[in-house]
Amino acid sequence: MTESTKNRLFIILVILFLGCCLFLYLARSVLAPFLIAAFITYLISPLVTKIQSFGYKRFVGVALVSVVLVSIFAGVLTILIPILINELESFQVNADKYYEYFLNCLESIREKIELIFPILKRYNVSNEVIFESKDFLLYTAQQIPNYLTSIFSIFSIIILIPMLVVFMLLSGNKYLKSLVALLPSNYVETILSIVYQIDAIFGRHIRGQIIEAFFVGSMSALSLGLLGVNFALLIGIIAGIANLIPYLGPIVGLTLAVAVGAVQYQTFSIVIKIVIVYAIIKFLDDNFIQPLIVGHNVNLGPVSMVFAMLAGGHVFGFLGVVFAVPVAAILKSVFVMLVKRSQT
Amino acid sequence: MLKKILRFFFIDYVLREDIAFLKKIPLFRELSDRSLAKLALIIFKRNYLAGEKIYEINNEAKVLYLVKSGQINISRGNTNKFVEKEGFFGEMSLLENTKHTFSATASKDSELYLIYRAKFEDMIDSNGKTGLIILKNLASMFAAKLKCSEV
Repeated sequence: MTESTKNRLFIILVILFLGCCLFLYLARSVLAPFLIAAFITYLISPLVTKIQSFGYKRFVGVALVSVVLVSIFAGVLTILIPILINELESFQVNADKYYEYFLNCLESIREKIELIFPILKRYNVSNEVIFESKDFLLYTAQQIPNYLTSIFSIFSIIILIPMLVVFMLLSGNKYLKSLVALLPSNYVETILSIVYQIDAIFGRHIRGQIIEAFFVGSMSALSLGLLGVNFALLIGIIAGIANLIPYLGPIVGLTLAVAVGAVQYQTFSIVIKIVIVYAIIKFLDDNFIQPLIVGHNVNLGPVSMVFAMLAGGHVFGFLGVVFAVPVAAILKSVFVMLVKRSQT
Repeated sequence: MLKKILRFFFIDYVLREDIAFLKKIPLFRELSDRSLAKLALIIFKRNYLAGEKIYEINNEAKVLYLVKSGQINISRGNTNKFVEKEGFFGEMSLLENTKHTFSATASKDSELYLIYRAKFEDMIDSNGKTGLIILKNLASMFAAKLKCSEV
C-alpha cells in the first residue's frame, strides 16, 4: 500500500471515527451493557494477558479466568442473595415506619424553624417545603427500580454482558494491531500515543474505581453489620455503587446509614458511631487504598470534574456520571498531545 | 499423539516464533522466555514498502523499532547507516522523551516490530529485573560505541 493510499485511508478512518461517535450518541439508550462489559473487561484483561505470557493461546486465559470468576461470583451470590432478600423483605415491611419517621422529623424541624422565624408560618413556606420534600422522596423512591431495570435488565445480566466480556477479552488488542498495520507511517507514533493515553487513563481509572467501590462497600456492610444496623448489606452495596461517583458517592452511604440507624435505635449515639465508622473508612481509603492505585488521579480540576459529571449524567444517565471523569481526562490529554504535535 | 493435539490447541505458536526472534536481538540478551513473552505481547507488527518513510528528523520519538526482515536506511545529511534483519533502531526513545535526530526509510520491503515506550515502561515497572537487564544491555552497547569513537 503506497503512502498516499494510506493517507487517504487515514482520513476515511477519522471520518468513520467521528461517524461512530455520532452513532454512539444516537444509540446511547442501548449502550449500558456494552459499557459495563468494557468495565469488566478492563478489570480482568491483565489476568488473561498474564496467563497468555506463559505461552498459551489467549482463549486458554479467557476460559480459565472466566471459570474462576464465575465460580467466585456464584459462591458469593449464594451466600449474599438470601441475606439481601431478607433485608429487602424487611425493608418492604418497615418502609411505612421509615416514611412516618421521616415525616415526623420534617414536622419537628418545621416547628423549630417556625418558632425562630414566625414569618414563615404566615406565608405557609414550611408546608410548601414539606410538600415538595415528600413529593421528591416519593418520586426518587419510585424512580430507583426504573434506573436499575434500565441499566441491568435480566437479559443483559445473564446473557449479553458475559457474552460481550468474553468477546472483548478474546479479541484483546487485535483490532488495534490491525489499525496500526494500516496507518500511514507518520501517524503511527501519534496514534499509538493517543491509544495508550486512553488505555492508561481508562484502564487505571476503572480498576481504581472498582477496587475502591469494593473496599468502601464491603467495609460499610461489615462495620454496619457489627454495629447491628438494619439493612447493612443493602446499604453497603448502595454505598459501593455510589462510590463510583466522585464527591457525591461517599455521602450517600453515610446518609442512608445514619437515617436507618436513627430510626432503628432512636438515639444520637448511633449517629455518632456511624459517622466515626465512615470517617475511618474514608481515612483508610484515602491513605491506604488510593495510593495503591497507580495513576488513579486523572489530573482534572474539581470544577471540570463536576461539569463533566453533570453533562455526562444529562446525556447518558447514571453510566454517564460514572464514565464522565475518565472520558473528560482522555479528551484533555488527547487535546494537549495534538496541540503539542501541531507545534512541532 | 494426544500431547501433540493438546499442544496444537493450547500453545500459541505465533508467540513462540516472536520469542525466538526477540532472543536474537542483542538488546534482549539474557532475558527469560517469560519476559520475552511479555515483551512479544506488547509488540505491533507493521510492513513497510521499499522507499517508505518510517519517521523524519524532529518527529517525536516514542517507539523502538526491531527489524524482522528487510533493510532500513537511517540517515541525516550525507550520513547513512543501514539496519538489517535482527537489528534495531530508535532505542533512545526508551530512555527519554526526545525527538528523532535521524530520519528512517525502508530501503527494501521490510517487516518491523514496534514497541511503544509507555507500554515498555509499564512492563519494566512490573518486572524490575527485566528492566535492569535491558538497560544493562543498552549501556554496554553505548559503551562499545563510545570506545569505537575514541579509537
